[in-house]
Amino acid sequence: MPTASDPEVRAPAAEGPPRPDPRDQPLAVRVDNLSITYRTSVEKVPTLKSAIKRAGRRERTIREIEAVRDVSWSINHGTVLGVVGANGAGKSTMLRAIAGILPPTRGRIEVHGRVSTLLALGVGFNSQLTGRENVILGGLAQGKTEAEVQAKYEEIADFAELGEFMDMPMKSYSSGMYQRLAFSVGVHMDPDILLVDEALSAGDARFKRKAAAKMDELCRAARTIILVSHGMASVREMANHCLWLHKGKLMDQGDPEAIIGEYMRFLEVGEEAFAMEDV
Amino acid sequence: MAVMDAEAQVANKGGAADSVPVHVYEPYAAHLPPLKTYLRDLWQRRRFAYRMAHATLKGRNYETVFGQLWLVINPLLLAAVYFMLVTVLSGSPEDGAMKGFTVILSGLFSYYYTRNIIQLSSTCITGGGKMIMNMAFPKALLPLSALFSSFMMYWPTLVVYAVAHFAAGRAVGLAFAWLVPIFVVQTVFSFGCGLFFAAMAVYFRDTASLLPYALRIWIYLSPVLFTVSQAKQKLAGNEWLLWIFKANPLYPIIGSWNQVILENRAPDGMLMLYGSAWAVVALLGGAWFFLSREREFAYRI
Repeated sequence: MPTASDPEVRAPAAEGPPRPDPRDQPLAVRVDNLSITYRTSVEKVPTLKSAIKRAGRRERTIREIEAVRDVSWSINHGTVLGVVGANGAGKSTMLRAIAGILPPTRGRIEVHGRVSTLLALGVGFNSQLTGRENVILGGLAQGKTEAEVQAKYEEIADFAELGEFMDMPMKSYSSGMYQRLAFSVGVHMDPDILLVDEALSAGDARFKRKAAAKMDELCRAARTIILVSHGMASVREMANHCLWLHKGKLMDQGDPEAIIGEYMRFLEVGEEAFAMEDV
Repeated sequence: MAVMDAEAQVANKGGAADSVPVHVYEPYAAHLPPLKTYLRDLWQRRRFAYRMAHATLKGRNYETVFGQLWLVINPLLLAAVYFMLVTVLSGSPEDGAMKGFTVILSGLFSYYYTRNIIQLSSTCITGGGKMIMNMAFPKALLPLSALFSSFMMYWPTLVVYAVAHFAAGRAVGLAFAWLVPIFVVQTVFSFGCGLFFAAMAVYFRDTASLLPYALRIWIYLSPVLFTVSQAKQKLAGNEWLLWIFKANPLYPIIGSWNQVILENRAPDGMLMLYGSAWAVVALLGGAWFFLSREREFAYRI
């Protein structure tokens, strides 16, 4: 992610209209008492053989993992929501639920607007295919018409700056090139709500700066961004609201500066510290 | 990105100048998603299934010398192998080698259409992990894409067959119009099976390994290397084997196909009826199993 400490990556000085105040904007996302429980098989790859064996022994085949527990929050359009938390906090799971990929186990999610996702390595259905083909497939999978995707194609290719690589199989891409294309597709799909999950870690400094500027542009247009990140600096710099998740629970939410401070203190002293105090 | 879900109530804000789609996600049980929304989403993305099928075939033969020519070479080699097998086992055909060859070609190509749909579908969900984890879309798009891929592999074989048909001096008549409804019945049946095995493979990964063997056995139980009348002759008196042979869904489907192509006549009414019934059962069963489970796929892969 872009970091504030890197002078190259600093978001450009404010140009154009200022970011709108989210308080004056309509509701974007409301999450009510959301719980997501994974029911995963005990073994890594479920097979018929092990299923028969276990059926014979009458064992339970399913183990439940509570990834998100009773989380509630809501944001208006124009918000850049930073989501912080340690590994396994349920950040990515929550993001996937908002995108409609994982259904909630309990609770309710209400999403107002078109969602574009930039999760893990977003594009790339088939690494044998060229960047161009993958971009077109991605757009079509999102329900756009061929004409709409073609119209966006030049913009996407220009932004990703991949030149002739656009017509080469994606298996020849470096991870940075992969992410540049993924980012470019994500932001050019005219999303009302953009979901970003640690998507910029592999781009070079110049591209990160460009990406940060593009996200800033989206914010000014009263779009909503939900940003999952381990990079505190980028959350501090871009977000105007922050959630802190820990082991699936919402620990706190509010002003990014305050929440990050609290989260950092928690990380420093650690959970053990609370137990230590009892000793 | 248009998001869909079983519980997604797609509504438009009343009176808003540019309509904002609203999606509501709520817990689901294993039941069917609202079919109207689902089918609309599927229809909207049909071009994706087509392009994906095209791209998959292209990707497959990308690095081979013959490239797309493999779509014709493959079935020809396959036919040669089976022709040799049959000739070795039961001697040269009574009415000449070329006619015997067309008997095998006709059944074999037809069988491979169904086989390819099922085989490709069985890996489309388990192999589509990245896409399923990163995007919300009607998952039936993936088996649909497998269907399109199989069709793109099928039609060049029909051209190959047509050449062999005329070379063998076989006739063509009005009865050939029957091929269209038979093809539709076969496609619907195969797609239903494809949906079933695509979902099945998510729960039992062994499906992908077992399926090739099951499909290989299936070819010997189907009227592929012999015609329906030949089978009836040979199996006469063996009620039990004849019953198994007739219980096979491909018996009426490939059987009627061969009747039209090889005998230049309308297929038996019973075969058509029987084949159509199988198609309806397969589609309803397969679609129900797939659609009622598909929201769970993202958790399972």
